[in-house]
Amino acid sequence: MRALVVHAHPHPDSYSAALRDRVVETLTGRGAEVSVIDLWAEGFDPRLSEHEHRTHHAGLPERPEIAHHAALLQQADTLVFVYPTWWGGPPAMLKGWLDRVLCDGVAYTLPPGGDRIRPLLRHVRRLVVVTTYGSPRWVNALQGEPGKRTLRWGLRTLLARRARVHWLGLYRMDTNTDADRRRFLDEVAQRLRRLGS
Amino acid sequence: MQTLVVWAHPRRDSFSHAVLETAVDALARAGHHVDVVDLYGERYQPAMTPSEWQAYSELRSEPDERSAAHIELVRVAEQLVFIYPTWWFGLPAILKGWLERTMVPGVAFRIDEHGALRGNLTELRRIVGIATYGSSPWYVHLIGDAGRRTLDRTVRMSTPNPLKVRVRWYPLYRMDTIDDDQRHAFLERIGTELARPGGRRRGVRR
Repeated sequence: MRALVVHAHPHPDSYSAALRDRVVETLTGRGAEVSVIDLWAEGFDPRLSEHEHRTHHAGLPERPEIAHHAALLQQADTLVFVYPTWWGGPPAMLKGWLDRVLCDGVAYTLPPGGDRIRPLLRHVRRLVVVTTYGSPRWVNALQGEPGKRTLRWGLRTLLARRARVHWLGLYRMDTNTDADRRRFLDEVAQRLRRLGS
Repeated sequence: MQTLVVWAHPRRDSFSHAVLETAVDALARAGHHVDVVDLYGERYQPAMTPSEWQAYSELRSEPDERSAAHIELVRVAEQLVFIYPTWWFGLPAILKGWLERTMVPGVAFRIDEHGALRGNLTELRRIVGIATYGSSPWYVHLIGDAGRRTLDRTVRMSTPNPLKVRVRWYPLYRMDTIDDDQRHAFLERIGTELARPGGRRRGVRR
C-alpha cells in the first residue's frame, strides 16, 4: 500500500493532529509506504491564483509549487484526508488543495473538443476520510453534508472505478468526552488495520 | 436593503466579473445600499490562523483588522449575495475560508442562557447565490451541490429564524460549452431580477 495522508488543521496540538499521528502510525505498522502533507504546517496557499486560472489547461508545468504534491498523489493507491469539518465541509485549506492540485494533467485530462473530463487518478483504489464534527449528526444531515458530497461523490469520480470509500466521522466534538475521543482514535486504527492491502 | 456582495474569482476579465458588475448595478438600481468584498482583489488570506482557531474553540473571536471590517459589514447585512465559480463541486477555497474566518462566535452564532446555539445574523433576510458550473445540471444534482448547500442551508441556519430567510439561486450550468448568447441571456436575467425592489414574488418589509 502506498498511502498519501493529507492533514488540515491549524493547531499542532489539536485532536486532529492526534488522529493524523494515529493514522500514520497504523498504516506504517501494517507495512504501507506513507507520505504526509500537512497543509498548515507547510504554509500551503489555498488560493488558486490568477496565473493558474489563466493557464488552466497547461496544468502542471505552470504550477511548479504544487509539483511535489502532485507527484505524491500520482504515486498513491490510498488517499487519506484528516480534517475537522467546518461549515459542513473540509477547511478552506483542504478545499484549496483540491482546487490547485487536482489540475489538468494530474487529476484529469480534457480531450480536445470534448466537454467531459477523463479521470487520471484511476490508480487510487481507496479513499479514507477521518473527520470531526462539532455538531450532532442530525445537524450535518440537515445541512446536507457538503463535505461528503465533495469527497465521497465528487472526488470519487476521478478515482478507480471500484474505489472503496471509508468515512470515519466523530460527531458532537463540542460536547463529547476524552473517553469518546480515545475510543474514536482506537476505532480509526482498527478500521485502518482491516483495510485490504 | 443593506446588501453585501462577496465575489470570489481571480480574474477581472472573467465572465464572473461581468456577473458581478451586472449584479451590483442592478442591486443599486433597486435602491439597495451595496457593499462589495472582492476577495481576490483584497488578496484575502482564507486560512484560519492557529490563534483564531484557539479563540474559536473557546467561543471567542480574534479577528484581524480586515476580518473585523468584514464582520461589521456582515452584522448589518440584510442581504448577502455570493458570486463565485464552482470548483470541484463547491466553493473556491477563498470563499469557504471567508466563511470560516468571518462567521465566528458572536457574529454568526451565540450561546444563549440555556447553553443552546442560536443563529445571530439578526438582520439577514435574503441570501442570493449566483454560481457558475462547468458541469450540466443533472451532474451537479447527482454529485450534490456542495457550494449551494453550504451557502443556503448553513448560512441560513446562522439566523435566529432560518425559515424567514429567502434564498434565491441563479445557477449557470455548462459554463464552458454554452454560447455567448446564452451567457448574455444569463446576464440579462441577473440584471432584471436583481433590479426588482422587493424580490420576485413579494416585497420584503421590515
